[in-house]
Amino acid sequence: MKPAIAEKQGWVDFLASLKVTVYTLIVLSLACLVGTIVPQKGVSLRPDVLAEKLHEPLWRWLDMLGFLDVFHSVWFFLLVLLLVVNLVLCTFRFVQRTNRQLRRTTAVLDDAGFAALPIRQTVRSSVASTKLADRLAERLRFVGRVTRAEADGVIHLMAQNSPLHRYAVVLIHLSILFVIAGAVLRILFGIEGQLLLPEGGMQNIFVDDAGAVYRLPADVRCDRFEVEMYADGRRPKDYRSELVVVENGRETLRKTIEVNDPLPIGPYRLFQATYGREIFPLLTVGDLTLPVMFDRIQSLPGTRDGLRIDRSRDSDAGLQIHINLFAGDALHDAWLTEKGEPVQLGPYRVAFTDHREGFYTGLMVAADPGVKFVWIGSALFFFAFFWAMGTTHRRVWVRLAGDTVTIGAAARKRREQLTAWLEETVREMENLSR
Amino acid sequence: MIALLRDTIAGLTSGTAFRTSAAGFDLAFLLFLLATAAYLVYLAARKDVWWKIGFGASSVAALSMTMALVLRWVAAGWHHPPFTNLYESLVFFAWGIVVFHLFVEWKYKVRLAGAFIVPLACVTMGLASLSPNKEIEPLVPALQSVWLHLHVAVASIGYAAFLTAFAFAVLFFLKDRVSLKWFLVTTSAFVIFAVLAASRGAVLPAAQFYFDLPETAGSGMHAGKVALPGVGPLLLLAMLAALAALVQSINDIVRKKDDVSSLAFTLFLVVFGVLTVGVFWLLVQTTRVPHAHLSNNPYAFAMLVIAWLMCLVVVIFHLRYEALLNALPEVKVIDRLTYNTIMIGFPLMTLVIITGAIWANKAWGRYWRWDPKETASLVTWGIYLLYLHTRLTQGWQGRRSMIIAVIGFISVVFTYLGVNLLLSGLHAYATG
Repeated sequence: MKPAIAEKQGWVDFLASLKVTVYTLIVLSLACLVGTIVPQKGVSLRPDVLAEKLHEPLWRWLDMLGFLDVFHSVWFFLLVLLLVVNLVLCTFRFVQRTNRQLRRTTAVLDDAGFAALPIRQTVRSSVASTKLADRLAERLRFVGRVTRAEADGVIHLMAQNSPLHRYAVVLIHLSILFVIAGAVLRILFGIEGQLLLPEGGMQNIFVDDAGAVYRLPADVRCDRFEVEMYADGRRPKDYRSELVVVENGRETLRKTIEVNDPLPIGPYRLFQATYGREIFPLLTVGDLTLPVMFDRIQSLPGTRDGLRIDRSRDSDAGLQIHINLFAGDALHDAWLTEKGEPVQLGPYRVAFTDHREGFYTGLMVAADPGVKFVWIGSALFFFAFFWAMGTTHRRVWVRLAGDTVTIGAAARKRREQLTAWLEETVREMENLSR
Repeated sequence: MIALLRDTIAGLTSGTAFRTSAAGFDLAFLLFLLATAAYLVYLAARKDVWWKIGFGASSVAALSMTMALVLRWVAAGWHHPPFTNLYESLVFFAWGIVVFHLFVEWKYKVRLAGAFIVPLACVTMGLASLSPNKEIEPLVPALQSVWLHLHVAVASIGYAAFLTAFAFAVLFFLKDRVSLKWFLVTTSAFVIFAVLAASRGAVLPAAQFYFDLPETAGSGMHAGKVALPGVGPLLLLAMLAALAALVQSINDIVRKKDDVSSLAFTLFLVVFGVLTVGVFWLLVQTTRVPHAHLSNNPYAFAMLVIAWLMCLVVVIFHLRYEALLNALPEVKVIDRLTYNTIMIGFPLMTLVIITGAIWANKAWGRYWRWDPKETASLVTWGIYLLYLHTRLTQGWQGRRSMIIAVIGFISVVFTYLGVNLLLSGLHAYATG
């Protein structure tokens, strides 16, 4: 059994090692470089261009290796996973090691202990041990809390500042894990889609890039849309949509949104993204008349049903549009004539009353359950970084045996401060001796 | 210079903040040129008066730029601070460099660092002054965010810190007696790269050097570019000499020669000479060839100028080696200074990424898109993280650390300019 455990231990040690961290980071950087230089799907590579390029063998290879979508490829995910495992294990090891070391810290330090310290000095003094010890204890306050022990006529002093400073690093690692956790939550549960809403229109459905249909927890109505142009008349200065959230026929929220200022609905946020002008058929369903966009699913307010205008034609009777209506599990369809008689489609009476040209507002809908983790992680990183860099755990030991005084000190950073302190202490002891 | 001062005063009295601001930037550029020359002379001659001129000119330039930036902000009606298009970004970066440099010189008293930092500030300002579009542009709605302004401001200072760390790294290698052979190798390689990049490869097959024409000129006849007679052969010659210098230097290294061989240095002098003539001839041709404006080819020109400056510095290194060594602080001190500047740059870089993410989340509901600029900045961040990590947990110091600092700076340059020049994405500057 024993070798098996040893082997397992070896693997854990390996996964926790800095070597793995460094090599993973290097490979991740190279992957990022590939992801920056090679055009990426959904970022810099349009689908139609991709379809064309895929005829070439080189591009097919790139695609197969995930190089055209590095940041969503399995191997990139595995690399990040490796980094996470490495981070968790090495942090765990670090805490174990530090705990052990701190638990062992006592005022009494033997010769070997002193020899292992990075800063140390031995001085002879003719001053009586107890008096000198009092004096030194006074000076040790500079370092931190002082403890004192006596055994066999030898006086031991030890001073240290807060050992907690050691653990700032743990917080840094934790903050990075927070950010990665946020990103993973986003990948698993994040939703992002588009909602085009004519001025005066109402909708509770949106569609993501892959064409999947999602439902908002309430209907959204756009009461007003306006664009303000710069004096040159070419560039938009600002554009905003006055949105109303309607739940069960009641207005629950009204907000004018603009770029950089979204509207929250349940887990979603609606962002002002684009706008445009189009001709909309006006449909009357029951007692409600709505402008409806061509070839997009339109929800029927307050219900889970929807319709879609997929074709239009001119006829002797006038302009006609073809409607597919989904009610419950049933699909109904009909041709409607402009200003013609209403048609019964399942439970709904639908009429094509008119058409008009107008603005539509382009909203982006996004839900990201991980974003809070990312912000917490970012804030934590900053806090922990300055904590870790601004402080250091300092320890100083003094042993007074007869006329020999041994002083040793340890700190991970800013050793020059301790060295200066030690030099001054030694000088003062020499003055005392005289 | 006097004309400029007159312009400045005229601008102030006529009350147009925009014109005064533009004059302030032009004045700063001239002062940068003066400071660059003074610092380079100081590097070679080590007379205090040259340092005083360099430091003084940089200080006045910084002051002038600060005023000009504020005026530009005023000219925009306080709507947005002046760092929203490439021109403004470059100006603000140059400002960040010089302010950071003055701070470091004042605080750490390392005078020679200016000889590397100020010329780069000058090139940056030169790039800005060549920008075709210096107007204050109205902002599209997505850019109207306080997070964006914070993002850009912090980036400029952070990048300036990394640039300073890079300058310290160069000083470190010099003081650490890394043989000049290595300086010769890297500079020669850079010259080859710069000539190829600036000519977009055209020097190789046809010994030609083309300038892009402005969109309004040429009307398709020249296919948008025009050849500069004589520049191509000169640059090709410089490149071939650089190749020879490179091979000879590597040969020296392989044979473990103690010092730079006279052959390698002679070849290098040839590179420097031909490059000097080439750049000068290029400038002459821009006045002769119709429509061949520097402002349509700022990066090609800047590449050549940087290559030329590097050659000049290495020549000075070689000729004044021992004197420079004596003038430099101890390696440990330079090592410490590099660490200090990176310790300023790293948290700023972190802030750049975080403010960018907050802004993106507000504008698009997505804090990270793996857009090339985002990715490149993450890589840069990772490299400096590696620097800090190896140093703090493994006790790395000296050469190994410095190599990371140099790689980090290359990554900064790629993040700042490379991404925009070579790739497209969200961060395409709002230039005309």
